[in-house]
Amino acid sequence: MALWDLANSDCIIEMGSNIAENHPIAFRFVTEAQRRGATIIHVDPRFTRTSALADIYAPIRSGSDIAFLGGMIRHILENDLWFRDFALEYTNLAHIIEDGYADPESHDGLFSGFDAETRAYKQETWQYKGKTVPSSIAEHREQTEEQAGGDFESMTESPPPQDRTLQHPNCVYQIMKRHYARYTPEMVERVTGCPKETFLKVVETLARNSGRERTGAFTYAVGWTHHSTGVQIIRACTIVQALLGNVGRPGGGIMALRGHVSIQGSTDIPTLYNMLPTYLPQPNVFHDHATLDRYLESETPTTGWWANMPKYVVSLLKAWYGEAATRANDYGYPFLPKLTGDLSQEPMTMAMVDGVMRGQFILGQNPLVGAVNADFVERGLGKLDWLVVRDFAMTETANFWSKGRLVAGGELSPEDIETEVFFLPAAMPGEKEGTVTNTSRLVQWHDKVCEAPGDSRSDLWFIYHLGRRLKQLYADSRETRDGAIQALTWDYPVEGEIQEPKAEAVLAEINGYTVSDGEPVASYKELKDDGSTACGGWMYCGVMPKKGHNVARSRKPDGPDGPGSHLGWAFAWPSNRRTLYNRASADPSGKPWSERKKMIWWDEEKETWTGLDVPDFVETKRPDYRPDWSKRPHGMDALGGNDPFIMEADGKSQLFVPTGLKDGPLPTHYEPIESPVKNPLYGQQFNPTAKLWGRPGNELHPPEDPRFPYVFTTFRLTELHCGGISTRAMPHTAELQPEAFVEVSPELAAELGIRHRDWTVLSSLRGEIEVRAMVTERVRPFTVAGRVVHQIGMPWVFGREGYARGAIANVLLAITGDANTSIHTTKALTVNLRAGRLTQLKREARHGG
Amino acid sequence: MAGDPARAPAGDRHGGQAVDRPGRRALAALDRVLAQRPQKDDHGFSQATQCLSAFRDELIGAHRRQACTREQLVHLNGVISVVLAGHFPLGDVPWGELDKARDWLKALVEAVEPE
Repeated sequence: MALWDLANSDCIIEMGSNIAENHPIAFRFVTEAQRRGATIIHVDPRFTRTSALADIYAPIRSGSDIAFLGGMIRHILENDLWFRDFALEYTNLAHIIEDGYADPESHDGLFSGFDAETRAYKQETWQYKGKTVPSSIAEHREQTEEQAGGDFESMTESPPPQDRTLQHPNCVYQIMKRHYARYTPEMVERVTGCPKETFLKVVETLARNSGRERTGAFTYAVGWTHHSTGVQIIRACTIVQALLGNVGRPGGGIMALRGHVSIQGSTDIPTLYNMLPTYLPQPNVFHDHATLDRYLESETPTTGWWANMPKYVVSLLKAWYGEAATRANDYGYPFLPKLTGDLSQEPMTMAMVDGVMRGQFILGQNPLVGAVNADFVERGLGKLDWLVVRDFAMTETANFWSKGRLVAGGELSPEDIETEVFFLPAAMPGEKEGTVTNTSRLVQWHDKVCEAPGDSRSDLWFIYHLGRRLKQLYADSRETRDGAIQALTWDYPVEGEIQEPKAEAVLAEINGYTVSDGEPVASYKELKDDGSTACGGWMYCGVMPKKGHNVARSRKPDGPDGPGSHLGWAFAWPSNRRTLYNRASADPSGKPWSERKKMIWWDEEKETWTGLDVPDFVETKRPDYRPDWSKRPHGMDALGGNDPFIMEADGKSQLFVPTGLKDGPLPTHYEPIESPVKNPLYGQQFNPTAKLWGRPGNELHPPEDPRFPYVFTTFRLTELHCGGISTRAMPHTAELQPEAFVEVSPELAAELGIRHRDWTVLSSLRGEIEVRAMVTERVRPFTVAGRVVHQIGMPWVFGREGYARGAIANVLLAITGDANTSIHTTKALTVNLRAGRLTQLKREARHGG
Repeated sequence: MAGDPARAPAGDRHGGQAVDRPGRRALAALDRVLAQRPQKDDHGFSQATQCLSAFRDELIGAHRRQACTREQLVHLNGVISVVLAGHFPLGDVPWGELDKARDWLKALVEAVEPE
């Protein structure tokens, strides 16, 4: 959904986020919804400004979100509150799963297919009966080896088997009822600490505001993602919303509140280590990816929109390698690096400590503040031969060699650190042109307003000139592996004295063009897999549809009586569409579910989909179209006119996920990896597939460890941004939050003899920090599984540089990863807290105290 | 540094061979990892990686002195890639690939650190 569409919601649940404080610009749409009569609900461990402005506040213990959301799913199913006409038609609720499937209900917290030795699942028993279901997600495989048996062609033979009476014991509906049966309101209270009356109020309010005439939305941020079950938390919300019909409709949906102005863009185009631009899978050396044909065969779903993947991959290769990409050499496919394993930030940190990496570039990041296990990161930086840091003010990362914690503590000394550090000044946003892509997938161009001072340069300038120099360096090489650098197209025009590359030329390449004449392509539907088109990111196709026309520049909002989709404001990928899967805003016959909630509909006269947004559907596909299975239809021919979720292989929203998730087809409550309580729901304590790395310096606390009895969470502040230096170095923001603090409830403070503003020491097996206490009712004790559990929290944005200084919270955290994304856990771990200071303890130790 | 696997005590042996040289230490460390199969010993993998990195430093120095070929360095980097793949797998630990990497390493060590 678009951010502004929140104003059309009848109920908004803010969960895993403190939207008022951390997304204040987005929050105005919540305020507008409230002004129009919507009920606003905040579910959160802390009572924040978001809570203060909500109509209902529901407290929950950090890390118990799936228990809460699972309780909502149960309540919706048991009380028949789901939007039957929507869910039965548009989700896989009626699909029948393989006979061998077994649920955590019968396996004390594990799904069928779990291998205790490898701590991984095999997915055969999760499939639709008789099918092998491809996943729409890059790097989706549970195993390293290829699947034995089953192939995606099974999806072209027939639709997945269904029981629309929902009686079959292995249909998704019955499986879900069994799976969530124990997530009663009483269990929700026991696990989360949220009073059951409050929980029931939340779910009843949302259910009451869903259906044909009303829609509800969720907003979430890293309060959901930074967990070892992060993906499954979001999944639980998708189940709630799909059951209630809150997807693809005005005011309905799940708004992921990305945390930076262009972090959406940074995952779209540069992406993560395991994806090519716009979410194509990175080839993997251990899969059947030796050639382009084998890679495409093994990764391309046979049905649904992703069947077009070959066009996007080949067009990307043509954009990158230009004339060096021909059919004869697989369009340069051999130049692409192939994955060998998890190369995300946490393994990279550990590899750094183990001496694998010789150098590192750090652009716009401050890992010594922002990365978990800060001391571990610092050790790794000290092992590098060289480090390049680009930023506009000195960061803790850049001067670790002289002022780091380990240097201050005597473990390392500057004389012994051989890392050569280059600190290069970076231009600030107003000093460079380009686009940002925000949380609405909105690509907005911004011009440069002034020149960067001195030697400050944009990141685009840096990367371009680095690439240019590397190409010169390797120009005469005969090594096969240098072919990739040699083949790269790197002919962006530059201008001015400092030879700044034209950002619009890069955007034009991302948009795509026909190779023969260089003319832009207007839509991704024009892309081909025969080398005649080039495109740096298929989802961005259409941002520059004609030469000189940059849609990202346009600024024409709808008027007050307009459709409200603001199609004239910038460009939303793909195809300037504002709400994804908006086919679901119409019923199976193509009529809006209601006049109040109309978005797109079928125009029988013109035989096309039309409406207030760009239809996310084949424009001319009739709502009553049904695939002719006798012809083994592929691609979009295999999806009916009533299958809105076109990126899925059968066009249905997946309540139950047969393929693509490493930790199970249904969200299941597990405790955080570090927890003061045993899992009240199952014997399986925490996510069995979570990524754990037991090694010195990264020790974990066992469950119920009496040495570390408090739940600890971290959070951001409105006034200080992320890794902090951009705002800690500015007097006018620094003075608003001048010093680090830890939030402690009055109850815990009384128990430990801590007064407001006293010094305290926080400790874990990873390290210790000292920080002043803020004694506040923003954090409250919870009653969990019959006992009191205290929760404390600290902003993670402080460091030793700038005007606003304080301890680095990430010293306390361990390196662990979500099974699917490898994301770290920052929202729920355990620590100890005591009154006093670090130096006091050391003083007492010397005197034998 | 105490416990640094890249600097084993003098006189340490593995398979009857002295492990006082970086390549042989790396081979011994990798063998210890493989002996734990199917358990993934993170600490063992870390030690093996540290030893391999130290061996790589030796080969880089040797390459600069033209005492080692580029191909040998490329092979060792391949071994390191596979060991990292085992330490940080996407899916199953590729034990079969680790066995192959072990054979590559053994051949390399015998060529570069002959008895």
